[in-house]
Amino acid sequence: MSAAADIQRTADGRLRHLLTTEGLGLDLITEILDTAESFVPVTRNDVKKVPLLRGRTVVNLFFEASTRTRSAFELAAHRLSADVLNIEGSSSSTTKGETLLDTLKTLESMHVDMFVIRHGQSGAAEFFAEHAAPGVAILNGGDGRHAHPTQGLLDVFTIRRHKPDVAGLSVAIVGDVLHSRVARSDIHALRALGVSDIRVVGPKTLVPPELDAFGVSVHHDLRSGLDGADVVMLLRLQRERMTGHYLPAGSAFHRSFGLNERTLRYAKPDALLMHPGPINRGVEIAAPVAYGDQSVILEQVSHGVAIRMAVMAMIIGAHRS
Amino acid sequence: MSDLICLRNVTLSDGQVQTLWIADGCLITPPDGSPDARVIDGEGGLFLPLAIDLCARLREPGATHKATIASETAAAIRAGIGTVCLPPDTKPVIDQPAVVDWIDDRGRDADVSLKLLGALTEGLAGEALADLDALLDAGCIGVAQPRRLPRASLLRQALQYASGLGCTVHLDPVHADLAGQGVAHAGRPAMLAGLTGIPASAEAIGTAVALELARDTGCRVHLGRITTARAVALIAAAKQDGVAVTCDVSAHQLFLTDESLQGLDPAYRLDPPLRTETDRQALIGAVADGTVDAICSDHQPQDLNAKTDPFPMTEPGGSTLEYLLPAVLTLAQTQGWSHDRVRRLLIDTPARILGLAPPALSPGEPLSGVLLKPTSAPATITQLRSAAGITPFQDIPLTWRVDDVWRAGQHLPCD
Repeated sequence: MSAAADIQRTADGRLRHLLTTEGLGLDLITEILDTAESFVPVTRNDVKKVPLLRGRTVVNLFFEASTRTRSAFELAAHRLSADVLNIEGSSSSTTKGETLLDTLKTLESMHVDMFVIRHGQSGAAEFFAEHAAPGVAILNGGDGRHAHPTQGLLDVFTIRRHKPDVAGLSVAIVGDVLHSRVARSDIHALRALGVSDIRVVGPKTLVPPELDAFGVSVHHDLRSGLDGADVVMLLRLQRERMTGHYLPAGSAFHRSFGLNERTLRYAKPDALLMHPGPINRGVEIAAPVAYGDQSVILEQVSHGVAIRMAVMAMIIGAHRS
Repeated sequence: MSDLICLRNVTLSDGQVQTLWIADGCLITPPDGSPDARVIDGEGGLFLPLAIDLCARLREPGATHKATIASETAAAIRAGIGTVCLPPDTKPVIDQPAVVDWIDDRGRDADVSLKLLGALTEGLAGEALADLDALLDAGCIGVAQPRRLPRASLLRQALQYASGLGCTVHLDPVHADLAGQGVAHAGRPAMLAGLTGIPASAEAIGTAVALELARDTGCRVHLGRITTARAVALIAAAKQDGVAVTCDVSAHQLFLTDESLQGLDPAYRLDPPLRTETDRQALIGAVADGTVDAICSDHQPQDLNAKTDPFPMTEPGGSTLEYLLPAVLTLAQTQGWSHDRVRRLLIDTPARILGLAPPALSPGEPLSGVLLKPTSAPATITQLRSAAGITPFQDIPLTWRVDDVWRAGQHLPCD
């Protein structure tokens, strides 16, 4: 198990930081999902606020661009009544040569309770957690290719709401798995929930054989990868990877691995269609299926707030005790 | 009254157990009678000439906040290393005689002998040949292009030219384009951690290019810090064909694999990266069958700042100089290698590769040598003399330690 998985729990097994879905285990993930379930009504009330984080300060420290993740964390913190400070990497002092450690310590000295970190390098959230003061929690908003745990949790949350017997499901993850922190977090979360049939699907450049290290089956053919799947999770194909080394020019990816009304039929008729967004219409997904009957893409976005509220509330609860 | 030391019952590399007598720092024939001497118990210990490390970076000039010639040579001598070969990637690069002179001057009073490799290309930029003649005239022992191979057309001409000078070209056979921005071996642990990988093929292709150009030009080439099974196989085949090639591995590559990446500990951020268990076994096999000629430390000391960041942002390297002899002897013990083989790997063959006379224990001469002892139980070495304490050996128990060192007749206890 990775060091990140070790240091994110307290000695008695509660959530101290959230760095990765690896090693959270069935009990803790179930607790997070159940807590998120309790927050779903809050996010739909006229008054969308509970006082659980009143007086607490949450810093969103984003060194990479983000719309939905940052917004969801910000909304979650506001809805828990926390004070929120948003700092973007381009405006942080790291651009003046300040090290990440000094940035952390400077902000910590303003008595911050929780940092949400997004950074382009794998291991960044773990680095912050290793150096954080005892009362300060780190939430990983995405680090390099390594992990995006709240996305993984909201994905399994969305799946569980539609198909409660999660362990028996067949889940296909399609696209650029190599560069995807979402895929890594999804896989760890699904495995913790007992899912044994997880397939990763895509061209060999983006789905290399070493991915079997995750305990998943590797498919380079969309039909076999989706065959009988209960859940189809698409990944965003980053534009910079659509040409050049990883893929041929043109529409090669969509032709072989794009999801449309025809290829979606390889999966079960009631298969859920998921995507962490933002979607590239006509690349990994055809417009008609993106918002079709089987799509739960917008639900995923909606659940993102409840999941982040749950994680923040549980971590503050663990700190308080 | 002379200073007389009786080093009792030490084992020499040829397996003989002898009592050595040292008078005023010189090895002497055993005296008659029972003279008054200070006795050092060498029972069970191995006495060797001082080792020659084929690759260690001392960080001076250019990065003296990490380490200095003074700090690292003081560490080297007490680790039983008497000669250190420096690659040219200092700042400034060793591509002009003035830099050679400056380092020679700084190293003049050092406890170890510094041997410099001049830069193969100007600024090591891989664009134009450096003034190789002038660098050799200034005292460089060979020339090198560390870290990544230059493009093949330039390398071919460089080897052609260098062969005319009769010097050895030291290369790290890594294909630059394939290695890219990788920070770890492209294997399962890197995949799990989401790290950008350096494929084994980057070294295999680099090795193939270097070997074919060595064959083509007849230039003597030394390939440093080999890490992969494929490179070993290619080198073995080339040697069979008579290509003038030698190679070394670093000691830590014989102990560690990319499984160490799991905790994302920057101590294991190394260049070249740690490879797989299959590669590690192949390297050990290649040491045993003679394909690998020498073992070096690949000492790359880093300060805390360089290692205090998320793993991919940290600088590669660690402090390994002081582990070289204990590590090789530990491995020799588990692998059944003779002490004579250890001597060849650490002393005789490195000397031959650098064109030096192999160190010997000669009566009448000021003694230079090292006494190593087996430890009572496997133990990690935690106290380093190097200015940089971060090391990939941090969790590796070793079964040998350096006990005593003599340098040009001077006794340096090492407890």
